[in-house]
Amino acid sequence: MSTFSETVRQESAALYRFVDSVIHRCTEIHEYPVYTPSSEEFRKYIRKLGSETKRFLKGFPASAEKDKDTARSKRRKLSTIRSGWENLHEYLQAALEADTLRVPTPLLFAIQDQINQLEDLKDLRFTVFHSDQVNYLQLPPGTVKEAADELADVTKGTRFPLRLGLIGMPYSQSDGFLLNCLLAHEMGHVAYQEVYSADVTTRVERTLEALEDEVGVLDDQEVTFSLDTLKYWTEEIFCDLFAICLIGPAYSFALIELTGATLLADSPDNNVDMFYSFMEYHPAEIARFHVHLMLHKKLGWWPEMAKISSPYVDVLTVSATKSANVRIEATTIPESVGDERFLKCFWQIATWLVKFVPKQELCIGPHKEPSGAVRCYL
Amino acid sequence: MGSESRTRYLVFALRIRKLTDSLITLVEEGRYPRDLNDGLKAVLASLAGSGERTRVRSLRDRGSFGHYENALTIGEVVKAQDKAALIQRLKTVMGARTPSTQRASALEAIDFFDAIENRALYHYNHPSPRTVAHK
Repeated sequence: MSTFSETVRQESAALYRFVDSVIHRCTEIHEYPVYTPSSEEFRKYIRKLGSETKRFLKGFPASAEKDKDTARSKRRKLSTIRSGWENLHEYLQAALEADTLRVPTPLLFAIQDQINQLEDLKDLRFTVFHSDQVNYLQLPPGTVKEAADELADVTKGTRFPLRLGLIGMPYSQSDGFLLNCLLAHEMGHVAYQEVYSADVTTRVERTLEALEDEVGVLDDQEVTFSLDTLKYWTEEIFCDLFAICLIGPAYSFALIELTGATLLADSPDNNVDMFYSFMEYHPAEIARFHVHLMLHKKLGWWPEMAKISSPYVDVLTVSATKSANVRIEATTIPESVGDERFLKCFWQIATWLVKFVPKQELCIGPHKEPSGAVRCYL
Repeated sequence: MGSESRTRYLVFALRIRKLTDSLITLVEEGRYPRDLNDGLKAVLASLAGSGERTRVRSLRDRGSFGHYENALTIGEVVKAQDKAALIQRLKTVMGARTPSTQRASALEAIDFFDAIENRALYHYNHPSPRTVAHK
């Protein structure tokens, strides 16, 4: 049977080889393909963290044998580090595939330029990765940064670059101008996580506290579940509104096109189709369009939009009444709260967001034209 | 389970590992790492609230451990152990009078943290729907 020393050495070496093969993908690129500066930064970061992890693993066998009382726990750490690298592995190839010829680079820079005009967001940068999912809105890059930071902490490595955001897009859509307006939503997630989440979370907590006064105190799994679910839905609405402020009605039109929601325009009100369903991480599409409509009216877009003969505009019009028929699916709200009360919380927060997001002074509108690169691009 | 929830389990496992590393430093070097207290307080708050009625406001005491995935994982691990004894062990690590008592408590706390890390990685590797059971 192998000794403890041999086993730890073998396990460390296996993980070392795995990390080495992952970061090798970052080093074998020379003149082609070409990446945006922020994608280069992401690639260099992975290479650096990989080198630091390898250095950590070289010294690991000796440190694991230091005290027999802690040796078993230390060995377990290797499998956690491996999981951390497996998680990064999922995104690395996707980021390497998104070179400047395969992403809408001018549009990205144009939107980034608009975002950077805000003092709080002036140094935000974005790196794109490709996804095999067509739906832009189901990619969760926010937690990747958190996982990279924690992985860095346990391997004595460098944390993820500050103010660098990862955003995903379908690999086939580099030329799809309308659908790529949805990238503004993805950029909104980065802005939300970096700057606005504290303010919005406070609002969500207050709403849930008011609910607590009404239905009583929930148990710890129920309350964390309810808070997280409301936060997921709220973040999606925030990003929708952020995108509308950045690029105007085109965002709503792109979302309607992507989701095929034009079916809503002439369907019966009590329809049971998917557009009425609040899911684990996303509010129902019909609810989102209703909130879009509120913002278009607030920003002054709506009188102009309403004149356009388009199924996209029809969807926004009917959303005001049809959004009363939403329901919660694919997730269970605590019984003592009930779906109706929970949805009421959502609407309270969404209505507040319609006032909160435009205050961030990044809005274009019918009376305030886009500036800088967005203006040139359009 | 969405990949967002899945990655939350990984982040949780890594955060717990960071705390375990600090406990190992305490055991091996007799030195109390600066960031250990804040981490232990957050775990204590989560542990105390596990399976109990919990106010929204009190989730702030859990710091970065206030997510559903964290509550679920801690609940699963605590179910098989004596919660009051676990709380006492963590408190002893924070305020033991003698180094030997502190070392012994730290070693027991490491076992508990290993169980949490292991369970969080299980969820990361075996995704299931994110849902809360009706009482």
